[in-house]
Amino acid sequence: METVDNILEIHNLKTYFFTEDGEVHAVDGVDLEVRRGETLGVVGESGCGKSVTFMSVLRLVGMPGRIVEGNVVFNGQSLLELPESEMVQIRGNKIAMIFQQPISSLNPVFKVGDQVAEVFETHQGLNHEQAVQRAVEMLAQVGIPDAKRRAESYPHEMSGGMAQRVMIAMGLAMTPELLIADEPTTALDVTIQAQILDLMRALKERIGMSIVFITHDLGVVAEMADHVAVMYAGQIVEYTDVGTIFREPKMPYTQGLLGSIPVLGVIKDELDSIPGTVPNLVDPPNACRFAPRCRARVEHGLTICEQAEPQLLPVGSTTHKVRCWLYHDCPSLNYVAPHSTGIAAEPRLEPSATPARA
Amino acid sequence: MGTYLVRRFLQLAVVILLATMVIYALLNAVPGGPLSGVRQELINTRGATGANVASDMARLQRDFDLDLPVWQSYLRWLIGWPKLADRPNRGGILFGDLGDSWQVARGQSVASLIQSRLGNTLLLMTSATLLSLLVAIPIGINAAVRQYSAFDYLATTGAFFGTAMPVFWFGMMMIMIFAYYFKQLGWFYLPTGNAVALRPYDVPFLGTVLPETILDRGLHLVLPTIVLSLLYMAAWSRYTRTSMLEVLRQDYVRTARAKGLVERLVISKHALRNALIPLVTIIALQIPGLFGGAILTETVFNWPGMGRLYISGLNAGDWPLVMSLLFITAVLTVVSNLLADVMYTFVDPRIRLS
Repeated sequence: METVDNILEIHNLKTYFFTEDGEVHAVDGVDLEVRRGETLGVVGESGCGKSVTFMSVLRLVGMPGRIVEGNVVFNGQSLLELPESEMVQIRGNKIAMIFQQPISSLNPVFKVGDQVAEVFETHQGLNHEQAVQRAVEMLAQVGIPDAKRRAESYPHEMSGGMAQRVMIAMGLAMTPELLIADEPTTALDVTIQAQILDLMRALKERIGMSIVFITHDLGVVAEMADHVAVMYAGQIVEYTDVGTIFREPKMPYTQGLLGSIPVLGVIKDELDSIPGTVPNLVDPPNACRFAPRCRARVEHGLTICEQAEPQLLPVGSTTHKVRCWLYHDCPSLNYVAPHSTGIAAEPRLEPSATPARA
Repeated sequence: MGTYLVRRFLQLAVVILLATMVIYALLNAVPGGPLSGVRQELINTRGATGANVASDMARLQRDFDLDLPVWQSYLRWLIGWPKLADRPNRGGILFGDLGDSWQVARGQSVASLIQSRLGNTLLLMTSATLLSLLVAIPIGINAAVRQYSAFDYLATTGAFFGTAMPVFWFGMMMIMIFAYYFKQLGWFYLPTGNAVALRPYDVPFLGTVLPETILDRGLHLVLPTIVLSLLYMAAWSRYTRTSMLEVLRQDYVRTARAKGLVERLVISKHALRNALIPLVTIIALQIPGLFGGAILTETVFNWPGMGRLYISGLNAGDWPLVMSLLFITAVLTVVSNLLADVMYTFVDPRIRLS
């Protein structure tokens, strides 16, 4: 097995929200690694837990949410065990994060230059004048014309694209080792989106950082990512390199996602869609979260999907992992998968689970 | 901004003019007419058939313009026009001539009456406002930051207590405990009422307190300030809490945390600066109150301020006094509304007046 240099490893991360309706398992056992220097795309529909996963990495999940289990290792250091006083030295310094709505992510009552400068004041102890000067340099670096004057602007005086550049300047101010970009282009129109993606790629080359790119846009993933993790209902359901995910997606959910994208030059009367809606994450059963919407389950007549929770295990190559009963056997239930890879899962079972008739 | 202010001043003039009409019309619509109280007094002292009751009433009606058509007497009250030869002429309230008191201090001008009370009211209201802000804002912030904590519930309960407590009851309880029982027990005690003492008095720990010294005034100020503040604190701590909760949910607070700011700075700089913006309105609208005084508190503590002046004016049917106080309150209210709007442009860069 090849040795890989991971900048970030997430082990069995569980972040639950304790609401009046019950425990919402927003992130339910996520295992993920980000390799040094690569861009990891994290894909999934709204509410699948992709943002919460990385908010948990920075420990920014607020009440009523809480990380209940798991481990986050950044550069060999376990982040969840750090005291808050050391955690603040990592946020914005070693790991930076930028968000979806750039204008509302900037504080409306402070000038943008001052908001970027605050990063230098916080992490380098610069005085305000020096910090503002560095901030203007940063703003120029992210392609803001007339940076010195724009630094005096308030967020509401900027366009969405410009505001996202400010957020990027803020994120990259301390040349972080890892940038978490949470849908940074979703709120922008397409031409601006392309500009921002180009900018991020160029800056990544220059700084040599790793990027986690959270998005629901597979086009952006194809353009930016080296590896892709597909999330569904608080879990990673498929993980592989970007070529494989488009060439041979294994998990029915991934296949559905890809099928729902229009392809240039192919005439279709109707785009494919995944039937049903995202499941309720309050106290989910020990079963495949995608089972109720899964066509493959019906086609193969599988009952195990609703009795046992599949695990994220390799298929074919070691880097391609899937969480699906189509590919893994379950000896304890006498189950052999239709596309068995010979790899066995030892899942959590529903109390009612019964071994399949041989 | 310039044209905006001109437009606002024109609106302001219209509103004030309408307010004067309403004030004048309402007080003239008192059953039995504005002089009904005076007539009753004359009848009580001289008997219903006293011949001079009718002639006295006629003289009074002429003195107060009540024999004129309403539009004329209103204009004479407002701007001192048209001038008439058979009676005293005045300058008009718009030009600062508030008239003379009829009853509370007969013959004294309303202006001098107000002058004698304004200082006391400003002192009481300013200290209560400052104390309330100093206490309410930190309570509101903490309650929001630690939402649903024991502190939050305590603050909520305290706010309900403060709002629900009638001032006349709570004030009297305070007097009973801190002025009466404490004195009985020989402990440190506070004066029961008034703004200053008439003669020297002894207080444990402080020795003899001489009337009208700063210490004397300070001691007299304590109880009314606390009673009045409780009411404001209750409301304002809730406003601050709500505003802060709203702000803490915003994306830019998350950004501030993601930047690596310590939580204390996230709250005190990024969140608080935004949460205090709505409080500008509350503070600006407190301005008429600073001059108008607190009727109940001033009455309970026998505080010689504007609130009590207003109540005595109403009770005695001293209409020039009451109309003047209503007029001043109306002017201050519209002016402080304008002030609030202008202040917004300074605290919130998103707002530009146009």
